[in-house]
Amino acid sequence: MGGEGSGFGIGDAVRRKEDRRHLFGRGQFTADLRIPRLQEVAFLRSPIAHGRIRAIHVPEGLRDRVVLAGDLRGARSIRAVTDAPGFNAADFPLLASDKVLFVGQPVAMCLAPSRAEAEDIAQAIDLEIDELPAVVDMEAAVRPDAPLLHEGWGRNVFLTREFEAGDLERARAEAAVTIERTYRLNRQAGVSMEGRAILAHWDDRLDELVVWNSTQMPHQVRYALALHLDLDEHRIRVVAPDVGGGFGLKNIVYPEEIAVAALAAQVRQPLRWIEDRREHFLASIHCRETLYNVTAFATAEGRLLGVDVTVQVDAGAYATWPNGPNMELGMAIKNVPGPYRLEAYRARGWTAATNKAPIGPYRGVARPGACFCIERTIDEIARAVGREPHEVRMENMVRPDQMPYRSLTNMLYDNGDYAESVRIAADLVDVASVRARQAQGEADGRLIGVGFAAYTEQTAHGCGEWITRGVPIIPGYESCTARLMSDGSLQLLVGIQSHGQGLETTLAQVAHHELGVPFERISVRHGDSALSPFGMGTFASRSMVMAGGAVARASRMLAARIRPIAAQLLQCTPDAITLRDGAAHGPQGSVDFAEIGRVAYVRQEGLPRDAAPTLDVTATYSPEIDTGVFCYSTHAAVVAVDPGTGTVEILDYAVVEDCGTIVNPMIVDGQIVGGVAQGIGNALYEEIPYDTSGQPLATTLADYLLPGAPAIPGIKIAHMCTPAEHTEYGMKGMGEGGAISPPAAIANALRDALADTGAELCETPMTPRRVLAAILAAESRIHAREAAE
Amino acid sequence: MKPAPFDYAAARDLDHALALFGEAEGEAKYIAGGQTLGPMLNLRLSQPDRLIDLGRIDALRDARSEGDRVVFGAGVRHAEIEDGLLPDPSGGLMPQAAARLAYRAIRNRGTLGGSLVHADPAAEWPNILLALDATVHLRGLAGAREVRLGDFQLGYLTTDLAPDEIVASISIPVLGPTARWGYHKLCRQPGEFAQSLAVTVVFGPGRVRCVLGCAGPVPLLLKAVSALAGGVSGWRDDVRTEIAAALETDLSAAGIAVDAVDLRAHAATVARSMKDALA
Ligand SMILES: Cc1cc2nc3c(=O)[nH]c(=O)nc-3n(C[C@H](O)[C@H](O)[C@H](O)COP(=O)(O)OP(=O)(O)OC[C@H]3O[C@@H](n4cnc5c(N)ncnc54)[C@H](O)[C@@H]3O)c2cc1C
Repeated sequence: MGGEGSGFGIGDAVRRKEDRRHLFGRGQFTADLRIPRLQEVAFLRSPIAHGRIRAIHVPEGLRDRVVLAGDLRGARSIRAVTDAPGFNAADFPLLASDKVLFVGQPVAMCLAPSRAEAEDIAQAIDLEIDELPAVVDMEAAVRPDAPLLHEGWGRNVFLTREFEAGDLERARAEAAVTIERTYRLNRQAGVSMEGRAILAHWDDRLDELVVWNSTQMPHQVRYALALHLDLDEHRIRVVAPDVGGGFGLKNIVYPEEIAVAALAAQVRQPLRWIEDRREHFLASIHCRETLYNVTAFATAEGRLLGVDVTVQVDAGAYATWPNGPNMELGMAIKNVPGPYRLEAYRARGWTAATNKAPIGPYRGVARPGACFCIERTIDEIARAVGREPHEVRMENMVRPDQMPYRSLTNMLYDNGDYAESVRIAADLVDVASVRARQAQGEADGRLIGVGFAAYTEQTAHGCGEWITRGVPIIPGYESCTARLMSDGSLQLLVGIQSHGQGLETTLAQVAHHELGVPFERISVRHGDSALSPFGMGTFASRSMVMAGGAVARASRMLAARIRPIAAQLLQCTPDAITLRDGAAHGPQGSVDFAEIGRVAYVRQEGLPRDAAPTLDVTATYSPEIDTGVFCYSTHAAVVAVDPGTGTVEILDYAVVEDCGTIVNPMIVDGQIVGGVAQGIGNALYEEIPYDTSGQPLATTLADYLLPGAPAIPGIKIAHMCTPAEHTEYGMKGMGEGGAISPPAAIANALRDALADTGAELCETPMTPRRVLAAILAAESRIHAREAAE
Repeated sequence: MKPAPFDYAAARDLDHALALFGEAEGEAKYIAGGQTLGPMLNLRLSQPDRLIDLGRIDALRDARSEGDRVVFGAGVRHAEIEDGLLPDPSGGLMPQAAARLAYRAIRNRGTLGGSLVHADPAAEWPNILLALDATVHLRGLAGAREVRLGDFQLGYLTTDLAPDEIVASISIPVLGPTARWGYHKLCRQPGEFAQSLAVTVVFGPGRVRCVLGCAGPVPLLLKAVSALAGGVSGWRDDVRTEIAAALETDLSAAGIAVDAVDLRAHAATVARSMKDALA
């Protein structure tokens, strides 16, 4: 291939092209844009969780700067309808005019030359709301006497799901060990560094609406705007400039965004809304809030026989576009079996509606919970049978000789050696030395422990998988236009959106690998619906495989166009041509790409008779397999816990993972570290509690704790590389994975550390208070037992 | 998160600051480092009509030894204490505590006076300076007065300060050569506010002040715990149960109910501060 051995091909740790502008502070985010006549928007939001709007009093003189629901013309409420059977749909109004269903719901837009003045206007509006009882707890929400959020629904339930396979009754009968547990993952936020942002203006010359949007999916936003506004799609251009993190929360089209775009089109006035941190905590999607009740059956040796689980998801008040809250439940149910051979499985679940911000997909989507559920349970089984948890884990895992392995939940695990990843992780943290240290005790009185958690991560899944999820948009492909320029440089125009994943670098590596165009002469353009062919965007650990595949295809199409031209110039046959080092090489002599480009664009007479001028091709790519390729990983954590205060310190952390062929090891390691950091946040720090009236209690970074640099240990990473059989180069996706295991691995390490006290942690985040409460609860159990004896 | 409109005036000296306050229409408020007031303005929790900036008053930045006391201007910054740039009456306690107070960026601007006026029971200075038995010196439109810190902090985020009054300086007795101290802050991450904070100062035989933060609306001077610490010589691990009991006595005397989890954590920080002071 063209780029082999150059240091810039597939497998090389190439430095990221995008870092330079960010390190010099020259990135271009939506808030950096300067446009004449721009007005800033501040949203007036509901301070009440559940209520009926009685009146909105706008002071005299401010009426023309305030936009209420009735003022928007040609803009429709969001209606995320899914094909999931029994799904309850409800309109998510752009601006509330009748009921409000969560604190932070947008009610009015206020316009002014500066954000501060726009907030002054918002403050001057008097909002009269008749308060209704708030539904805050997901279990109470589904009781028959709970107040209904959406009248017309019989119950506060978006959807229910049931699944059963294998003979659970037999598992129950044969079990020597039965484990019953309740696990809770509390609600958290996505907390991208840059919040949501949109700038919309009407371009009179082009007669189109231009929307600058901090989004992971500009083409889907264009589609959504055409769906929700009275505008033909050809009159809409969506540009995602630099995007400061997304993690899924920018994989959604929100009411605020449609409202700003609609108003900009309606009044032909450039408008911008920049979400601030408080709004982010109030009204960007939340995530993770799920409750698992699990019963697991195992043999006396710790062999898993069956699992019976009930999953409850707290989805908040509305379904967001496009996917609503229905992915969480389905993915939770699908992923509980994890990397294990499981012969009997029953799962039931429902997704409740509550008076809280809507939930949506956040890095890992549902799998941190599913992983927590099965991995905490495996540890309990191991303890019940008196064995090392990592050994019980290895014995229960799907074996390499069983690959490809179809799980009970119909996921096709393509390849790999799951148990080997556990073994390497155990080596990296040196379990034997942890056990020795535990036997000795710590001088400072802290207790230490080691814990493991493994997962499989379905990545780059295709059309068929998405159809089973019942979602309205099927992101089963990606696209690329590859354009060799007249001077031999190369442009790649892609439909994904890179916001930290380094795809400007890795996609260039792929094209370099295929064509041998020098790496620094390749640019990757993404995030602009006017430039690139339609693409789905960046989410679901898909872009490297999907867009990488599209770049590979387009590059090969381009090569097929280059060869005959080169053959003509070199007087040989096209199949004698090889492409490398920026040139086409024939049996005698070479011609560089600049000459080929020149001929193709401006010296048509040099082209072969049947060759079309220009070198511009477009390819789409879908993986050969619909069910995705499975990355897998085992995390191991060593923690120290202070039994006096409940404080947890991570002493050591190891990640072993297999994402198949690695395009850029430095970027893969960076994704792992970033994901683990977020997982540590999930495990120990991040939470948005609500009080009983539906007020969120963490709405600034003073109340919402993110892990700081000192909380993230150095992370040991080991790779296993089993190339996928159904993707280009054997790549597997891996972007989300780092965030999946940390809650479970850390909870298991705490369980190990606290083994003598009998305390266990079954809820995230494991704050010092929760750790201490678990220790006290275990102590009082012991006291009660002693008193009884 | 943008503040409501206000008018801004920088004071040259204390008299000027008081004059600016006196002539203000509507609510006037002093601002020092802005590390607490800034966020409150941005969240519109505070909406003064006028901000009077104390940050340019040289006299407030001064710190000097006066006999057996050190007098700090209220505008002294946490970072200056941390860096050991000023006389230290506390035998190393204040610099050590300053180094773990918030983040460096905040310490570069946040002030001793601002912290005492904000009167957060989870903050370092209200607790540590109470243990050190500090006195605050105030200037107001009606003149000057001084108040012992124990009488200054009246409730949660509430002090004895009148709206026009300025904390001019804080004076702290210098610890003797035999004095010892112990300090423990329990917080969820470096730089965060404490969840429990205990400081024990042994001034001399039998003379101990042990203060606990975060348990009640104000920093608590723990009488029973202090007496216990004054009565033992050296540290023994088995004194922990007595500490827990004495702490419960102190909390109920103050009318404060904490649950078993908080009690365990507070007992741990108190015991650690005492251990460091006695061992
Ligand atoms: C992220 C973060 C973390 C923090 N962590 C901690 C921590 O761990 N521990 C801790 O103790 N603190 C912490 N703080 C608070 C910080 O120490 C503040 O600087 C301090 O509490 C207030 O000091 P300031 O000079 O900034 O006061 P300002 O914010 O300027 O003012 C605070 C209040 O005091 C009044 N005031 C200020 N000076 C005077 C004066 N001389 N006379 C009369 N009134 C006055 C103001 O009117 C205002 O009401 C943290 C702050 C932040 C933002």
